[in-house]
Amino acid sequence: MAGGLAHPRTLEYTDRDPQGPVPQEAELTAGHRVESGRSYGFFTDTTLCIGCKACEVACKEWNNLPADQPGLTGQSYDNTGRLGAHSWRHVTFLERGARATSMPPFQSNWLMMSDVCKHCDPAPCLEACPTGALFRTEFDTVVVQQDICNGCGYCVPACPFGVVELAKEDGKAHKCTLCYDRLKGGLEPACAKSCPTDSIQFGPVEALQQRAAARVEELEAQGQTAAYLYGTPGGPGATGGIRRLNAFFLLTDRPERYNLPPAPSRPSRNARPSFLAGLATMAGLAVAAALIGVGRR
Amino acid sequence: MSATLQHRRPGTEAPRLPDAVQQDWHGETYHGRPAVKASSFDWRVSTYIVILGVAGSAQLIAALARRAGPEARGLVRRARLLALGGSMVGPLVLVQHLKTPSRWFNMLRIVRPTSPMSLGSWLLTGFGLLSGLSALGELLGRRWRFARRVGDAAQGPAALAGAGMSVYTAALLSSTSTPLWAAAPAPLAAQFGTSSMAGAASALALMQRAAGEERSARRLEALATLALAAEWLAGREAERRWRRAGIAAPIERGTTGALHHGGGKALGVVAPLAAHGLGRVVGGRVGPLLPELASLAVLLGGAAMRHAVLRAGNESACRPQDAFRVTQGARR
Amino acid sequence: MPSLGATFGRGAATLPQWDLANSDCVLVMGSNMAENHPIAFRFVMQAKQRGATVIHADPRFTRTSAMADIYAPLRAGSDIAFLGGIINHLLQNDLWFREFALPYTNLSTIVGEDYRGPGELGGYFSGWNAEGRRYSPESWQYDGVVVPSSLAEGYVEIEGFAEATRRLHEGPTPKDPTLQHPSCVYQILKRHFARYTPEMVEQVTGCPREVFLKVADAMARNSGRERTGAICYAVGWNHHTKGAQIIRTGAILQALLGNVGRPGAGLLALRGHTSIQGSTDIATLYDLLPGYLPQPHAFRPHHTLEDYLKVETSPTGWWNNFPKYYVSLLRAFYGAQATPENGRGHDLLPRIVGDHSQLPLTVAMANGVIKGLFVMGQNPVVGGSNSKLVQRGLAQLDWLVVRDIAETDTATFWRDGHLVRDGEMRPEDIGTEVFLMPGSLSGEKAGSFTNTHRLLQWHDKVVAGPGDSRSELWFTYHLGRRLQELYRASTREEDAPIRSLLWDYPVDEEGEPDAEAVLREINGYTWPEREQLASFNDLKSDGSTACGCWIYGGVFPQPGRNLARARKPDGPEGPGTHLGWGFAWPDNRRTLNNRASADPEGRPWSERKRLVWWDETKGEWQSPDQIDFVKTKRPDYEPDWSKRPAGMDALSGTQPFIMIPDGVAGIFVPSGLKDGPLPEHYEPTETPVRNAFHPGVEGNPPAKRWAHDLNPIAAPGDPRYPHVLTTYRLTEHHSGGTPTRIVPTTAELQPEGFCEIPTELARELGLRSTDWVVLSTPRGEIETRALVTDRLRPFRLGERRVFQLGLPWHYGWAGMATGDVANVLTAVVGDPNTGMHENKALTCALRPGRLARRGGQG
Repeated sequence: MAGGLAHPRTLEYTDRDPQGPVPQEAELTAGHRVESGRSYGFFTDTTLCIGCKACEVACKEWNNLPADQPGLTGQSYDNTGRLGAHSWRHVTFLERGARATSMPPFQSNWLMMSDVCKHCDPAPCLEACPTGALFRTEFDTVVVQQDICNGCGYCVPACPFGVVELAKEDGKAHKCTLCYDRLKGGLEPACAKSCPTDSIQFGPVEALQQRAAARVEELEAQGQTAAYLYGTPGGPGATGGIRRLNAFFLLTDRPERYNLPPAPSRPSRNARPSFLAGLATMAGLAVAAALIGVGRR
Repeated sequence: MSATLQHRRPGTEAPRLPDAVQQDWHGETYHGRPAVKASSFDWRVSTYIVILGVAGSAQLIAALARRAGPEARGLVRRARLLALGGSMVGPLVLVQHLKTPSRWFNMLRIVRPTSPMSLGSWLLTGFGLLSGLSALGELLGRRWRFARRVGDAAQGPAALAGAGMSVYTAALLSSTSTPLWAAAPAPLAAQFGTSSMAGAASALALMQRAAGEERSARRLEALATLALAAEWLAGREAERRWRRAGIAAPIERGTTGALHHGGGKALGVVAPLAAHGLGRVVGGRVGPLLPELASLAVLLGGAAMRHAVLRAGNESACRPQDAFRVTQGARR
Repeated sequence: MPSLGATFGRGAATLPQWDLANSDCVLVMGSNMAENHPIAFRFVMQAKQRGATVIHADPRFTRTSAMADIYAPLRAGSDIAFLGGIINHLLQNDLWFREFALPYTNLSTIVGEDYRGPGELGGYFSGWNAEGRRYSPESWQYDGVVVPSSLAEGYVEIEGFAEATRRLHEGPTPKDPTLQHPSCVYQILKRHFARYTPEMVEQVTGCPREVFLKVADAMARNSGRERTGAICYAVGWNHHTKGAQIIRTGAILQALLGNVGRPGAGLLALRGHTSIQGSTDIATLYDLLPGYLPQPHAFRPHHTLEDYLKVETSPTGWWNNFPKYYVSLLRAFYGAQATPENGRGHDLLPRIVGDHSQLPLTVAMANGVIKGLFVMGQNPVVGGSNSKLVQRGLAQLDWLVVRDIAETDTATFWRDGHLVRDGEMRPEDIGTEVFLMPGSLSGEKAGSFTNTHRLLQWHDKVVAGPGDSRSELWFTYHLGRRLQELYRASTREEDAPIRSLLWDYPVDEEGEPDAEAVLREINGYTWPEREQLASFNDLKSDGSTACGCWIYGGVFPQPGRNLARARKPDGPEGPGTHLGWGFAWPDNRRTLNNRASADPEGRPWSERKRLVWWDETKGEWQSPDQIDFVKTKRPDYEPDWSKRPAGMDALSGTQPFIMIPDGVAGIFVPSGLKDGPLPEHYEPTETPVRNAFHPGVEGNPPAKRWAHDLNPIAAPGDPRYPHVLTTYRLTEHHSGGTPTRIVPTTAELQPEGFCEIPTELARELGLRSTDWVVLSTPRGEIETRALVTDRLRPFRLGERRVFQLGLPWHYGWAGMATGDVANVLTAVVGDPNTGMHENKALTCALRPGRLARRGGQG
């Protein structure tokens, strides 16, 4: 029997101190150590997602997030509906097309994707934040500092993915922290750890990108030629000045089907043309005012 | 990385999807759910935009008028006080919009060059201080020459800051992922700027008329007329871009559409233009009422325009097809 | 699990979940595995990533179907027709694994001449007693020899049973290795399933023929020396009046394909709860004692210990050890009170007199026979069939004890239930005294889980439970202790069983018994020294050992060595049997019947599928797994029949199924099943169509029925109830819903009850998603929301178009996620073997709108 369910170092730990705490648990559960100064993120492989929502529950449990309780939507299995202040993981469900009986490998009729904050690089929310409440951590993730946020709400429309939201309860901006507290403790984020099919994979972004590229090739070899990466450099999702998404996805249909923008862009790029056009207008008006002789009787 | 995804210059076109994926977007959305989130900006923010726009442009007028010498003293004084008033009331309204108003000073923790809101916060702070100084010169200048000199020295920078105040709010809105705002950054700034200038000129014209300085008021009304004409053009350009992007529905239909067409355009631009035009044709015989009404219409219409843009933006954010339309990118 | 027991010898999953990753083809049927067993499904996904074909056959397209390569839609309750069709396809085209099935199954065994199948007798097997509505298995026996059942109850009601089975000592069962004998199992099987043609399959199941054939081909392709396939099933196979026979069909299929005892092969019974396997092992079922020993029965020859052992001990095979296990269990129960005078405690054990499973208890309650009820970790108002009958029964009780982690629907039936809602009773008219006692969650107590593949995993107490909450162990222990105190002075004979109970578990300062002490007893120790036993091989039938559950022997071999606690998985280079992780019964064997992974000569069938092999130099079997065979028995060993061999000595070196008296997999089961030696398609009790195989005999003839005014059954084809209804679970909720409907994070994921309605039917009725609908059956009506979907498709069965509706059954009125109780619709009818209800296939009516309520509410 081919085995291999555990990381080799698990054995060392279990030999050494079976009851004690495990330093760098992420190494055992995700195969990567968590060290400051490196970039970490998620690779969400939608071809492996079974829509169990364990990630949603694990996230809410770990982060102590309250329920949103939007009620029965009638939209497939999706009663969460969206990412928001209290929902940092959201599994999208799209029951596509006719009633298939035969499906080529990993070409399900249904699309399921566990959506999350993309921890963009550069991050529009962070670029918009006037208080510095949003900052980039030592793990290259983007986190809102709740003790600094004053609820100006500018990050909310700034986000090209509709991730950040102000909570009704405290008025502060909330979003996925990529389990900043867990990373500091050497633990894999809760959602990735709870994912039973490894649809959500956690690790250093570069390593994940390599793994993802290999997965695309593997899928291609198995006949799933629609697979592509969303959010890796140069690919869809990493557009308009967004270099890459630290939480990126493997998709098999148009991004819109997953509620992702096909070519998101960094909104701060609009500031300069807007400012310049505005100032030019004002200059023109000033000249006109001078010609009109404003002030003279 | 799949070989089908070719590198490209950012922002110009979207990378190609694999051939097996449907290449063209036929308007699919995810259960019709919004793709981006609407801002929490409400009437308080649009009020702030109007007030600070008028205040900012008033400083610009003050700076220009001061060059006309002593004869413009009244206008300069009123413009500076108008600017001071605006820069005091505006932030109060804005801070109320924060979910945690007591933390407003966190805006001044950092300078974020990529954030128009951060820059705007500093601009507003500077503008407020400069407006204070310039107004101080006006209020205390008769007793202390030093104050007058400080006020005059502050005038130039205040005017520059005022120009920024008139337009930065457009940059702020445009630098978001809200489809309607992001689709027309330059026209929106021109529209906001011209509307601010028209508003400031109209407000001062009203004040001048009240002070009996009718000729000065006429020049201001002429400036307002010119600004309105420019606003009309800028507005048309913005609408053209929205229509071309296929996202004009929120600002053209419903309550917001009514506000936009009836308030922003008819009341704020067409009516005053007609009134001032009529005044120009028939000369001084129409009396003060018509131009005064026109000036009021400019102010109200300017507020309606800003509010309509704000509302339409928030509505467009709830329309996933709009969000996807502006983020399609050009295809090969 | 009588079907796996009857076929392979043990009623449990034959392979560990993680071994699915080694499979080349996984058929998921009768299960929505991705949703209800997502952790196990991890390994299906691993197999798929390695290129395995994943098939889902189900009435509904689900999240499991979405992960499959082939989705085969079929009408709820038509599983036997579907699987029987595959068996027919294999036999007709000779696609079965002959080298495996010939030596390792009873295909070549000759059955007595009197046997007749339902094809010959118009829908009945031979031995049908119409009056008693039951079968006599006499005509199902092998030619000239009676075989005891390998199930818990070895005894079969046949004249001179015990003597007739002694023939097993005299020689091998009659065989024809050429398979030509008209009465050999192969020929019977071929005749039996010849009726299951692709046309018939399509007509009965509604599954398009080409899809069905694609499934059959995939199964056949992934069989043989180099390849293996696995079947995963869950309650979608159980919850039928023929559930045991559905599983039997799957088991026959796997036996023919050589898919048992080998890597990536077998039947994985997916259990509905965390420790359901453990609960059957430790015998929550009324007719079982721990370790699958039969509860003595008043109307069977069980009177004395000798009588009991005589009929229940198999002459041959592993079950020949039966007396050791039974006597040791009695010692564990009664300690020093188990004496030779009272049959080592046998006389103290209560006798059963009939069917005491949940369904008849429900009826008995409603009839006022039962006065008091303990409900522990269950929510029968939501989970029990015919909920209104259940509630009517609860209202007849004097007292009701509900132990749970929250106030369940069962605890509040008198206030918020259907009796009150429908205006049939007022709360003040219900005399039941309800005691609600707070239970604790797994993290609040120590204990073990036995998972779906027999793996015991220990969990420690992490935090103290809130308030007065107590563990089940605490409750049961102190209940027993107080009962003993109450009866201490009694001299009455009927009180002796309680007074004699050995009940001396150590408790901590809070009165909580030491869970490990219970596990030590379950493992077994010597008596009276109480020294831990290393395995069940050390058990004796003379009373010198005590053992609480023989199959768990070895889980606690030494003091301080609780193997359920072990947490050492194999690394990436390891064999992948993970023997260091937890403890799997029996004897830490991970793959059951794994001797079958080697060919008759003892060589692995292939390098790719290597698991067990004979090492001639060492003279013993080798494997990275624990070997499910006598370790030193040579592959060429043959019993010396002149010595009348007993037990394992009577099994040859090529008979891997050690729990079966004749050592081979039972494709044809002579004893143990109450509804036939072979599976036959019968319609559900409520069906929209006639049985195409034998019109007139629609349902399973011996299926259990209980007549009651509140339990009417719709006749087959009743036009008032035209649609097929199937109930199911959602991944977001747990069974009766108590643990998930009260927690906001899970409640919000599926916040309200709903009914899946096919698009075509919704169009006819003008329904849109989230509209209100009313579902009705002869038992009652419920209102719920519509969910219009293509997941369910209409079937054309002969002339008729039949719609299926899907209804999650988690909901009730308690907690945050609420909805009407699906089980108001279901009926109290049961499988003849297990008494399992039939909630996966019934008929119903559907109309838009809401229920009119007393008081004019909605």
